[in-house]
Amino acid sequence: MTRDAIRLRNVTRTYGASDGAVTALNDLSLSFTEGTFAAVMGPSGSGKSTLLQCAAGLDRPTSGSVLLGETDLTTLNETKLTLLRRERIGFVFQSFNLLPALTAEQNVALPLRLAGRRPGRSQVQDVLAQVGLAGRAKHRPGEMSGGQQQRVAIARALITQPEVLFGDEATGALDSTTSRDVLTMLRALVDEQRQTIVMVTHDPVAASYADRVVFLVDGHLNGELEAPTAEAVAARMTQLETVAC
Amino acid sequence: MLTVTLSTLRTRWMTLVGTFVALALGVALIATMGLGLASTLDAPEQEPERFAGAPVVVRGPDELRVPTPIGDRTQPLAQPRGVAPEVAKALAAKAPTVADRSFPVRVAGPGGDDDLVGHPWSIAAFGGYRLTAGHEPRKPTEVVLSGDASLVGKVVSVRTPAGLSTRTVAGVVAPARFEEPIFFADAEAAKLSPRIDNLVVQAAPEMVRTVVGAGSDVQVLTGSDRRKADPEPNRDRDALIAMNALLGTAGGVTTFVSAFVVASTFAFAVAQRRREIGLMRTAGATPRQVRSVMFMEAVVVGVLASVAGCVLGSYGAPWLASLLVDEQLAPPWFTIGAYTWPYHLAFSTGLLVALGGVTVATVRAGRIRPVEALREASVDTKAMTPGRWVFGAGLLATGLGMLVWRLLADPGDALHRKTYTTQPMLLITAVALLAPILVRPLTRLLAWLPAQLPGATGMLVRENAAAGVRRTAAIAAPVLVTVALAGSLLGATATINEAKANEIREQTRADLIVQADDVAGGFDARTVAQVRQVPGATVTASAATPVYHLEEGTALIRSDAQAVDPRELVAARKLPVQAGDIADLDDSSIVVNEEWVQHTVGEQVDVWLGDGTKKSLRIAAVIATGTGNNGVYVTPRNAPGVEPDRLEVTWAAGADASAGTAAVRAALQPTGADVQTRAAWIQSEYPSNSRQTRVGYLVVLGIALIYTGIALGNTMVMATSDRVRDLAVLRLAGATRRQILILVAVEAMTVVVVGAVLGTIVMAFNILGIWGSLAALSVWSSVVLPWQTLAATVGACAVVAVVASVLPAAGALRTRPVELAGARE
Repeated sequence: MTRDAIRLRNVTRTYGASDGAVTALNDLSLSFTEGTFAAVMGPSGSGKSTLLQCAAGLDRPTSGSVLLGETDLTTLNETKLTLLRRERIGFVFQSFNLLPALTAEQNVALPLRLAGRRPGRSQVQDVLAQVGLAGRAKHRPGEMSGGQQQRVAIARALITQPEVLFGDEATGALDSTTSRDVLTMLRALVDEQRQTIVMVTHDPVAASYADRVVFLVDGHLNGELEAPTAEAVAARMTQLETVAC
Repeated sequence: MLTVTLSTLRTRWMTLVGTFVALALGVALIATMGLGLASTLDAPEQEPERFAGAPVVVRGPDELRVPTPIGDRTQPLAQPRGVAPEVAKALAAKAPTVADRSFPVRVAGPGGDDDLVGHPWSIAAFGGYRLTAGHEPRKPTEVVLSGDASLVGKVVSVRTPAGLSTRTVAGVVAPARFEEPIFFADAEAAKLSPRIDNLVVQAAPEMVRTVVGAGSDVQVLTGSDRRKADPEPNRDRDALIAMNALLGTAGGVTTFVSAFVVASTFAFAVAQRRREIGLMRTAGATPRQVRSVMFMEAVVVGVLASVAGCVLGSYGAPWLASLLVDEQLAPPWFTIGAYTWPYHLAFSTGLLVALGGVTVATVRAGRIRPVEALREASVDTKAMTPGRWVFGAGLLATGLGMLVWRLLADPGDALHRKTYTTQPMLLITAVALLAPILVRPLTRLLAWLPAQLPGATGMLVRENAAAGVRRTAAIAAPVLVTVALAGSLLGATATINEAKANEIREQTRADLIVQADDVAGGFDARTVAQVRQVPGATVTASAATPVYHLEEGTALIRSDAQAVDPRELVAARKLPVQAGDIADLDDSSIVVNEEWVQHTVGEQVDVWLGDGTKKSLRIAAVIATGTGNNGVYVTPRNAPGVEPDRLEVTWAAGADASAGTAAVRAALQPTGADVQTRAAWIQSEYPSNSRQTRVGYLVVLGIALIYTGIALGNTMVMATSDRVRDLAVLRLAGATRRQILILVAVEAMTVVVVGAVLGTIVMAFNILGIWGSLAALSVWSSVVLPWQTLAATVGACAVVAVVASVLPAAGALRTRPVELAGARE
């Protein structure tokens, strides 16, 4: 039986004051199934990053609710939200957002330490091995390539065994080879460990690694593709961008 | 290029505001101290006071005048010779004269004893005294005081050099500014103090000069010269000399501190902008362009801040002047004069330091390849530059070298205030320059234990502080300078005081010590004889008298000597004799200390005695210099006219000490002198710094410390604003606000502790230097460290640092982390 890992119900998010208000998400309802890999696509300004940030509890919707399992994120205060993020959600950014002063190992262990737990040595090693960085534990971000830094970021997101792993253009800063490696790794996480992944991207190739692609235009859902191919996604995007213009 | 400068001014406002604040306050401080110092250089002309109404004042010789190749050198005589009776008689034959005598008088008042100056009544009118009630003293038992009318008719107990007696207040005069007088009838005054100190002559000065004779050393004073006969003719000038020394030290310390802080803030500001420099370089700026942009910026900030500092200084100086007057460090009339050089000095110092700091930093910044600059974000891989190595090591070598050299060559010099205030500066700068090497191991060591805890704070503190070596070093610098200065200065004085106390403790052997007070003047022969008759008592009677000698042919030096019988001396004191034998001291010889240039036993040395008589004495023995209190000894015959002012009693073995003590007390009862046991004496002699010195230190250190406090807060705000992105990333990694604020606070405290440890190292070197110098002077003393002050200083620094980092961090946390972390630089 499949369950929804995360559900958005009638989510609206507007920025700015009444007059010049921009509606990034407009009464959007959407859910992501456990153990699947979903990609969110759309032209620039379609609200895909806002969707992701609201879903991950980094931002608060103006109205509507976001359910992670049975927990409604919109009812939590800032501290509770932080604790929930720390324990149940992983997030990977385009800019890797590692702490430059810490080694790979220390960066990965950070969420556990912030939760007041001492990470087991093997636990950190395992996650690093999982992202293919077993030999790089003692390196600082400055001593690693972009792909390696992003792997550290993914390892850090995975160490808490989150219910959902969010990625915001996670491969956007990487070259195509590195990007493919990272995507293959993410795919493997879904196939082998039933990890739920939601990823925003503008790259049809990246989207083709997903089980399902949802398209956003102007804060509305604009169809979706199951088991997408890069070509199909690219064709759909071209169509959307033309319409948008 | 100017547009670029202006636009960077706009974008990096936090860094620039920080440097602006540091520089403006530093310049303000220099300007304030400079103005204060300039104002102490000119004393207003002091007008004659006590003889303002006298046409001519004849005064006995009161200074020793010794001709040298570079002109006459003078020293005030300890025992001024009065006007010789025959001169007074000759003048009285030609014109009306009034004799003046001055002698100490102690009056028992309701609120304790008052020390007054006794004069004959006839002289009162010349000083502007007028009776406000009652009448002049007509009988020997009558006196006139200054005060209110209710005193008239009261009977007071009065102690004069002639002993204790009771007198009736016949009248009162309005108080004067220059003394607290007590007037006696002329004949009574002459009996109490036979010497004529001044003679007022109602005649033309030429006539008086003719009578006195050209070759005489008697002074004939007219016009403004008459102030030489005033109680304190150089009062105003002397007040300024002390102020000048105080402000000189304060100026030196604050100029150093502000230059230090400004240079370190500017260097930090440049280091903080390495990423931006990297971007400029990637965008195609040549190293030269990078340098000139930063240089232009420093010029803009430097000029604006220096101007602001001068304006601030113009307000600060009068404030300082009123503070000094309120604290009674400066005479009430002290004000800030209109001087321009302090502004020039402050402005150019500020600008030079700013440009210097930027130049050094930009040379390195410009040399960096674009990619390198981009990569080197906030992990400092190479914080030590060749410049830091060269200057840091050089200064360290100089500082330590001077310390050692002083130990070997001139240990006494280390005990002088000028030395121990400047000595720490070299070492502080050296350690600050070398700080990046010490910071990393030190933070790792400090944070080792907390990092073992499961939580993230310990690990983050350790890694952040160690990785951001430049930031850590920049924040630690003000703490370093604060702790090192406060510790070194206060520790030096405390250690020297302790050594002096130790010296007294070591040298005092007598069981009872009696010190005559100023009023009694000394113990007369009868009293001394009575004390000597107490069974079992060995009495050492000594008289304080100065001895003057000419050093290197040009400097007339006054040494505090004591006139004492050498056989008695050995019983009462244990002196650190270096050569010769004290027992050899006789009427044709002298015991000197090693401070004298000439200190070879057996040599003849020319000296002038307390009354100005020249003598050639053989050196009988030499004692160690010690802390400077080991005086010179002569026999009583070489202290003519001086009565013993200290009696030291040593009991023979088996003598009845308590009965003896009672007998000594009884014998001395009429003199009013205090009989003290050895312990009580040592206690009372314990060197305590005068209020002026203490308050002076508080002013010097206080101002410097407040400034470093501001600088610390300033650097902290600059550093925290730079870390907003780091903090946002931490929040994205799951840190709560509370955790982040705690982390920021703990980081601030760790850095303060690093600074404090470095400061303590500097302090330790300085105090060890003092201790070594004392040892070289054969004074053994324990090292006294001002722990309380240090703890308070470090505590204050910690509070400032925590507040200055937590507040901006809390402000930054209000923005959503995604925006901050996403923001590219």
